[in-house]
Amino acid sequence: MKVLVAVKRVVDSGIKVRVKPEGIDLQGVKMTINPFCEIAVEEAVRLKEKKLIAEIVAVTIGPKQGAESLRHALALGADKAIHVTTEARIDQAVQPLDVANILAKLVERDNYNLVLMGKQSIDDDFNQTGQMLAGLLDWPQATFASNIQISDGIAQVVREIDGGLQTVKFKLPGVITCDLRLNQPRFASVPNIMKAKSKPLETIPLEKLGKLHNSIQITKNEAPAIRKGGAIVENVDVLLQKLRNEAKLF
Amino acid sequence: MHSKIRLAFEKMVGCSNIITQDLNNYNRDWMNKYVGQSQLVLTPQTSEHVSQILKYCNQNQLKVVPQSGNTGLVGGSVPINDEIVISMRKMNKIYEFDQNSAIITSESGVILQNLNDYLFEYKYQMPWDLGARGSCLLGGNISTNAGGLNVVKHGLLRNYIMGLEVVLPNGKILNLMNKNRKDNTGTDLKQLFIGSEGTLGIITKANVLCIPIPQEKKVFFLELQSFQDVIKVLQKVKKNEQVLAFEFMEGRILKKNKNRHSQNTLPFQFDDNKYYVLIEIAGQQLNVDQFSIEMMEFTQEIIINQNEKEAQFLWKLREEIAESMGKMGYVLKYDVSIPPDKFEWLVNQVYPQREGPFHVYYGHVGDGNVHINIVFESLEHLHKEEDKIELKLFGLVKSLGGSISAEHGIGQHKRKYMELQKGKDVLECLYSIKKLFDPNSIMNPNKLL
Repeated sequence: MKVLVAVKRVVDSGIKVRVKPEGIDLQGVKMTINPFCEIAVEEAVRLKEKKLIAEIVAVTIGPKQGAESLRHALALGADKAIHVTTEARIDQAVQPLDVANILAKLVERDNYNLVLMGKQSIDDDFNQTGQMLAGLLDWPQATFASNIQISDGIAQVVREIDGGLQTVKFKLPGVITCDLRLNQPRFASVPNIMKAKSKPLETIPLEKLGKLHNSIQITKNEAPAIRKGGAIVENVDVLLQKLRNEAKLF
Repeated sequence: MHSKIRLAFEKMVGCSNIITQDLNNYNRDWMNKYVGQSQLVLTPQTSEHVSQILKYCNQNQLKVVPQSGNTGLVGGSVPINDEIVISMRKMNKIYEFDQNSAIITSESGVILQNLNDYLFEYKYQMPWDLGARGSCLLGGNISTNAGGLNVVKHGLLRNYIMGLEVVLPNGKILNLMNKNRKDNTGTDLKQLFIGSEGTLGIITKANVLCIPIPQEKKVFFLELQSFQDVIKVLQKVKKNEQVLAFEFMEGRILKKNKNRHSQNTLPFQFDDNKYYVLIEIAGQQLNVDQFSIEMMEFTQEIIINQNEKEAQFLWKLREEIAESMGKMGYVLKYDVSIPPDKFEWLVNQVYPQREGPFHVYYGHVGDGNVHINIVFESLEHLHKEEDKIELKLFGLVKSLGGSISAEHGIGQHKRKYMELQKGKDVLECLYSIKKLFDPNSIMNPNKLL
């Protein structure tokens, strides 16, 4: 069984960012694999260790530094990588429907049995790509996975939903998007990082697979307002007064 | 407490800066080992306040304990009897950062982390870093010449202090402020106050030379078979100027602390008999591959962080050791400087075959500074063993030409060993200096000397 794992390269969630009118200042900023995508890679590697899948291919869309994220995925245990190259801003111009179309082309070309990816990326939080891909391929999907079991070509996925946990079952091929509690990714070991350098990495210019339509326009970028301190009030009367006069609730 | 005294302080600093209730946190150190009996805490907001307080105390022979973040490990920042605690935490103004000279000017009560947050906008940082960064204050760091994690690359704190404002025990405000990178105008008086643990005066302001935030940082975590391997790795990387931190830990404490992290992946299955090293490299253009290849000469068990969260987690494994041992019982803590290849030998001299109470050695092996922590179930048992252990340990340290306190300072804990460490002649000079600045012995009595 062959698995395609799509990973997005995002700003490292552990660092402070500066917001500029045109977007997050990416100058010299540390980038890393989107945490949910890293969970997807880890899950693929665990499935391979359980001998349920035979090959893992990691794919990313972005500029040449994107290869670092692919090497990370290879170091964690992916077998091959595909780098779809573009100079467009990944956090703004590379949008879900376009990504889904590109991934669909790769699926058709290489015949994967399963596509894994993070449920959403921490830069735009769209949470759409996996769902759109399943639609384009006319495949079943399970999103927000917190547990994945595969046997005899059937995937059984526990999904985290508002009401609790939902278990769905479907016949592969399908798309699964991964959520936080699915697993804890391993650390990348230095020997594996070294070995990853000799694993196959295919580079394809984006234009060969699709197009960026920029159908979603970003009209404003601003940092959230600085949180003002709260206040402790003496009694309910003062509370009501503040809710009316300051918070203007009624 | 005498109402006349209270009234006098009220006139000086106002009621809002006088505390007489709930003094627990001011009276005890964070390990709960040293407990004082102060009845009065003052929180001055200006150098003028500090000056008036000290002048009054000096005239009336009232003993004082200057207190910053109270994160010290040798009982230097808490009262022993009913000394008046002067807490510096309200003097927290940051004046400015001069981008040309890279010098920051601020009051001494600013939290170290807040200085870093302020400097972040300019892409600069403070030249020292320690686990207590969220609580320790600048003045406390300066008066103890705090060490920390980055000495191996950046050197000592005292080299980064360009200027100070110090209030002397007689109330005089000594202006040693300076924003020049170079100032060779005679004896460097500020060096007396740096590291003298609040016994000569109270630091109220400082000019500190800052360093640019490195463009890239990477954390390596290695598993090694023996302590001797730790030394071999150290010899190899010693000359690499990109090494920002080089810390080692024993498997036995990492294994014990595993249950603190049930929700996280650990870098290794920690083994009681193995040794673990954390190396952080930092610089403008890191050659991670080159460094990786050099490390692989010693072991294949090396992991490297892929993002900031992983880096913070790896550091947590090292930084939580002190606190985790504190939770196991009553801890005797030692912090000595000796040649790094002698760390293992030293510990085995104190506890042959590593028998006896649970004890761990770890720390800044890159600086030749080892921390030894020994856990006892009861305070009585600790006190019973304390003198025996210390005489043996410090005697061995002295015989190796080492220091009984690499970075934690003397405080209350190691006062009685000052003569062993420094010798009579040096001590005489130090007593003379103390008498010159503080003839009435009001400043942090029974500490250091």
